[in-house]
Amino acid sequence: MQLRDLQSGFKQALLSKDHNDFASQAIAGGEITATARLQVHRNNVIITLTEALKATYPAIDRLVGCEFFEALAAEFIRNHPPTRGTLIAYGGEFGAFLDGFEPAQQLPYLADMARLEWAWNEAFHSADAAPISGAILSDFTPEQIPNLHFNLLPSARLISSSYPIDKLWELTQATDEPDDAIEIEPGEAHILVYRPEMDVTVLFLKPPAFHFLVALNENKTLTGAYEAAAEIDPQFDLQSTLSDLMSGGLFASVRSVE
Amino acid sequence: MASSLNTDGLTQRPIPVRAGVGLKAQHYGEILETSPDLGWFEVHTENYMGAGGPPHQYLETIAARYPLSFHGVGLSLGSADGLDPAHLKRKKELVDKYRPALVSEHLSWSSFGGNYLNDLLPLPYTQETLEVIADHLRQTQDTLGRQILIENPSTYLQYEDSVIPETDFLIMLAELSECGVLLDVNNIYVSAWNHRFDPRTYMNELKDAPVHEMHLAGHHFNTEIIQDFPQSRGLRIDDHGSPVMKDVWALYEEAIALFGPTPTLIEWDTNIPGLSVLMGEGQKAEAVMSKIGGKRHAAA
Repeated sequence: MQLRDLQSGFKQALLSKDHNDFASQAIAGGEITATARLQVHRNNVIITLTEALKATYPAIDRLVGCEFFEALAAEFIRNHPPTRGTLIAYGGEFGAFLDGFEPAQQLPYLADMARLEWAWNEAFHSADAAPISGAILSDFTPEQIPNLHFNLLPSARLISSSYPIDKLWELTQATDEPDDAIEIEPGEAHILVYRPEMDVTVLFLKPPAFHFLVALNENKTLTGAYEAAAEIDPQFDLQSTLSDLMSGGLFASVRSVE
Repeated sequence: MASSLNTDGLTQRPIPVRAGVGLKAQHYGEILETSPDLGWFEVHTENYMGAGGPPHQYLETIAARYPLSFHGVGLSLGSADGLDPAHLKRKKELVDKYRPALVSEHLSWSSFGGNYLNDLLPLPYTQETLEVIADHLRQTQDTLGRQILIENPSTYLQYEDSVIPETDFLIMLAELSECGVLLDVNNIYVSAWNHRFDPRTYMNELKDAPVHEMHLAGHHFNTEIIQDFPQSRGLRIDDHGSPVMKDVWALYEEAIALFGPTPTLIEWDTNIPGLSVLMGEGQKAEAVMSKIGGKRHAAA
């Protein structure tokens, strides 16, 4: 058997539950059958990748419990095996997978929780950049300020959900298990994830501030972003919002475009 | 703070002939606070393939204090359909930045057809495989501009098509590609048990191979397989999740007698204990090196 055919067959056998033709064709048996020997590798693949997904999605693991998580991880792994040789980049499609995973339809917020955890993972590993301080605004003339463009840190991710995933996030970050079942009020969530220094920050925003950042991130000017926020809330306080975000170290650079 | 990959301040420190331990995120803080007396650290290169963040910030600080070895688990030298150029490029960036004294890979494959399977899968030892992996080793060494070591695997199966003994395969590979050998003593023990060969014979066959590093780790005995196949002697599974077994220590003494004192890594990747446990294992390895190594040199 050519090496290429062997690896193609082995891969197919590893990602299936019970495709054992390959084992009987290629693997020497003996006192322990070829299928049982192949099963060692099948287990390795599913167990180690499940551990990797648990490390990236601890809140999902906590919300659904170990047994359910392992079942959905195995299904995900077989349908979306890693495409790169580092697990840092593995599991980005977990949210989209949960959207269509029938057994998870009872928990419609799971997919957005997964997107939030993936944003956290991306922020953790993203390129480093030093945040600018608010003092930088004094470099610009009052005429330039309305047309400034603000660049968010490379780690910044904006996540919104029509489920209260902010409350669920807080719940899953608590160290104690709750005594009783938790009632969570319905509601939407708007979340900013970024990493100003070593620690990833998860910030819950009001809708106007969220849309203000979405607009800045889409390369709108300060005026354009303000308009996006004021459309939702005419009372939107630009000055205090911008000042809070700058002191939180969210921006990598600001530039004036004439 | 690491703003980009650069070589500022990181000079290559040679690996001393001592024990090192695998660097784990759980131990970053303790290492920086206590600067433990350890010869060197080995990292899984793939854990540092992110663009930035805490992993790089810790590794930069540790690299300034200790010699480093980069051990790859994701390059997949044995893939019939070639190396992933993006993976190799990222590996080169990391090697250029951190200047590790040793760089190693496995005699195995893990990727095919655009998928990475996260397991060190066994290769059939044939002339075709030898050419594929020798080519990939040369490509990797040319890209990195340095020699790499290749590690003997733990295996649970053998292929019908395998025709070259593993030790011959390793020796030919080292000759063809001018790579070095990373001798994993635990892997020899595990494979010898699983395939009923004598681990001492295996080591003796490699006695002239360019062994520049050794690995020691724990493994476990698979209880399900022995239930399903009670007439067999079961399978030992390499999991790096427990102390080095007594029989493996005995084999390590023989390895040191045969190859001389060699930088030796304590690998522990699952159920990771406190750093002091890893250091204790490292001290045992150093005690073996001073006992056996001393005798060997005195006799020579």
